[in-house]
Amino acid sequence: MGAGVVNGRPNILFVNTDQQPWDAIGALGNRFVRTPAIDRLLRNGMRFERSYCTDPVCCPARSSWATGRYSSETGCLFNGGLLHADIPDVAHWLRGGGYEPAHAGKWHVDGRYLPEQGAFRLLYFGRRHIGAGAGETYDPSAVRAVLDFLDTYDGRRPFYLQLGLVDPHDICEYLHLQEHNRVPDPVAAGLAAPDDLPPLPPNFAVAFEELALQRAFHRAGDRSLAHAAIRRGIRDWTERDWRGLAWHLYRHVERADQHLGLILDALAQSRFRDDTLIVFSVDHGEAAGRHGLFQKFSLYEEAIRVPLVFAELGDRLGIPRGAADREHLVSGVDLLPTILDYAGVAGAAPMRGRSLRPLIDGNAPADWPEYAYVESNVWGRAVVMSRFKYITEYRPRADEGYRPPRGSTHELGRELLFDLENDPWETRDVAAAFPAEIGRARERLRRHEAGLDSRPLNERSRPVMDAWRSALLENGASAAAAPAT
Amino acid sequence: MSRALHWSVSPIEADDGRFVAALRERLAQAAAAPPDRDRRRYRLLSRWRAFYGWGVVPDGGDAHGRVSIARRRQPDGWTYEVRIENEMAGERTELRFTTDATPFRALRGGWSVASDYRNDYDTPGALQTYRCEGRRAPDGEIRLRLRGGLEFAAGRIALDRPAVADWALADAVAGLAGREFAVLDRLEVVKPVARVRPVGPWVCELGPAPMELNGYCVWGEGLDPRYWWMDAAGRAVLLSTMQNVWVLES
Repeated sequence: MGAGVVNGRPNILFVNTDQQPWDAIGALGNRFVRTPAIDRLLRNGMRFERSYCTDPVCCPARSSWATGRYSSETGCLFNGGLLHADIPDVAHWLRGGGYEPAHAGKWHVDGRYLPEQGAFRLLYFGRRHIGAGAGETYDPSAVRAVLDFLDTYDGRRPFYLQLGLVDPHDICEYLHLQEHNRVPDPVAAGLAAPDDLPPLPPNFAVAFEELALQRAFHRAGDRSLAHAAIRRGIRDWTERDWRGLAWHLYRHVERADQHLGLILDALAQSRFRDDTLIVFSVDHGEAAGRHGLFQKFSLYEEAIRVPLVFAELGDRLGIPRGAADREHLVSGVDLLPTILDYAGVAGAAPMRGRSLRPLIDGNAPADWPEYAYVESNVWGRAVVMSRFKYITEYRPRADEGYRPPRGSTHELGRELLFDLENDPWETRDVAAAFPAEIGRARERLRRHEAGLDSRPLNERSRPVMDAWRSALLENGASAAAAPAT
Repeated sequence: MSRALHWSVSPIEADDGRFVAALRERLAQAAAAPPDRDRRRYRLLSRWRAFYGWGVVPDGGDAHGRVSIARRRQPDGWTYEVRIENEMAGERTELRFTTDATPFRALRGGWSVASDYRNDYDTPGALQTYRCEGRRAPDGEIRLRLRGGLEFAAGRIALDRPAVADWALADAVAGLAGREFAVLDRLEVVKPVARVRPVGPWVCELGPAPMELNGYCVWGEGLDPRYWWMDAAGRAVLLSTMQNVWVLES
């Protein structure tokens, strides 16, 4: 082993981007975006093509990465939801296990204030702390901090180095710009030919009745819970404007990729090259017009499916090259157990995920979970299975006691079923045609949640839940009955 | 084109008036300042939604950064010294580079980056240091060397394509219109394909007198569109990115 490995344990570099669609990768055949750095990781590693975040919003998804638990357990059910103070995070485990955990860039696990957390070596997190956005401001310094670490770290302990790039989340600012401005699309502005714009997705128009939760967040006009002002600003958007949104998004993806490339170039020439496991993933996706939506906050594939790659630039760690796992359903809660597995560190607190290392090593366990469980907007749930995806919602209750909703305490609202095998764009709800699948999904949901922690939200997080519940009840979420299946 | 505030330099969310007031103040300063052909100073205003709502700088000021671009004519080109301060990022960066004498201001020779970045308003001693020296090898490869000795290739720029430092665009943007080139962002990140397109005149009425500005959009691979607005004297008066506006102060 080389200089970077201590007692046979690899260094681990975890680079994540923010709000990048799973298919915004050149090597996966997307001709509208160039991602040579991510492509390089795909060539040098193994990707999981059915990887799902635990919750399609920054803080909730990141709380799962950090703790190995679902957002309803961490307390981070939404941005601003506070992580329960007694839950250890990745840095606690790894520092206790002899690693040097270091952080640069976006963290966004609300409630875990990094200067007080004590376990991370803080390389960079902004003078005004990085919150949701501003990759343009923060990413260059975060990247420099990582470059300097690779240049100067003494290597006495193996490192766990995580870099949180904000990009392509800056696409949110492009969307906010629409609130009070008419911005010409890239063709009208002379920046692109019509053929340079990604096509309008085939599921742009939604032809089925969505969850009440979904309608309340995105389709309730000025009362929409998610960015009503943007929705108002883009109500006159043409097809080219929507395609232009994806065009702009891809420029931000490329910006993040170029930063990743700089890190990989430096790592490749550093003494840590041969002994560093590289992990790349994204906290959640971006709709960019799919289902007529922008941003996240939904349970559709564009919001919850994320890239996940394990790679190495050398050849000492045994990571397969150019490999793809298209079969196993994996989740954001699997990340921490996998990192601890490679680090040889035992995490004692309950974690919901499983190490992906056996899958990477080609020893897939026979009992690998047959589904991925996803939460959204407190009351939304998805059970993603091999062929089908089940989406549902709990009906909000006035007396929830600030506990996350569960099947044991809440009634189900609307239920949808998508046949991902035959309808990957999720254009048709086939719940009525497959009642047995609905039954199986319900049972998986019930059993899965029976094993989850359901403690109440931190007091300071409760006003958001109150506000959303009130809005949902006003918008008629409680009246959305489950179909008779 | 409209005489109102151009969308490329407007605040991202509803403006409470402070953004435009700050823009006016800076432009008035620029108009009153004695001409300095060697150095231009810019202030950084945020278009970003979170800036005015959450506060960024402890003193409550309306700007959270500044840039000074000093350049000196040499017999065979130009030398640049760019200083960037960004309170939000906690960044203090100094870029030194030389360019050729063409209108493209293409990089030549070596360059250096010295950056200190500070975490957290409240944590004393949380100051980090970064140093980097770079050069473009004869085959177009961009070679970077960090302070601890790590040297690596950070991509390649085709030899038939000018490599332009992003801050040299203040002088080169008009000359690059209609031509493909590469940008070396912050003297580190290769943007292999970039383009410039004129976006027409805009009569800016925010300063003490109406000012006709000509806009140039710079965009490309990994470059979300950004807009340089030049006055009749060829000075870059405004640079707008998605989140910030750099406004000429003097």
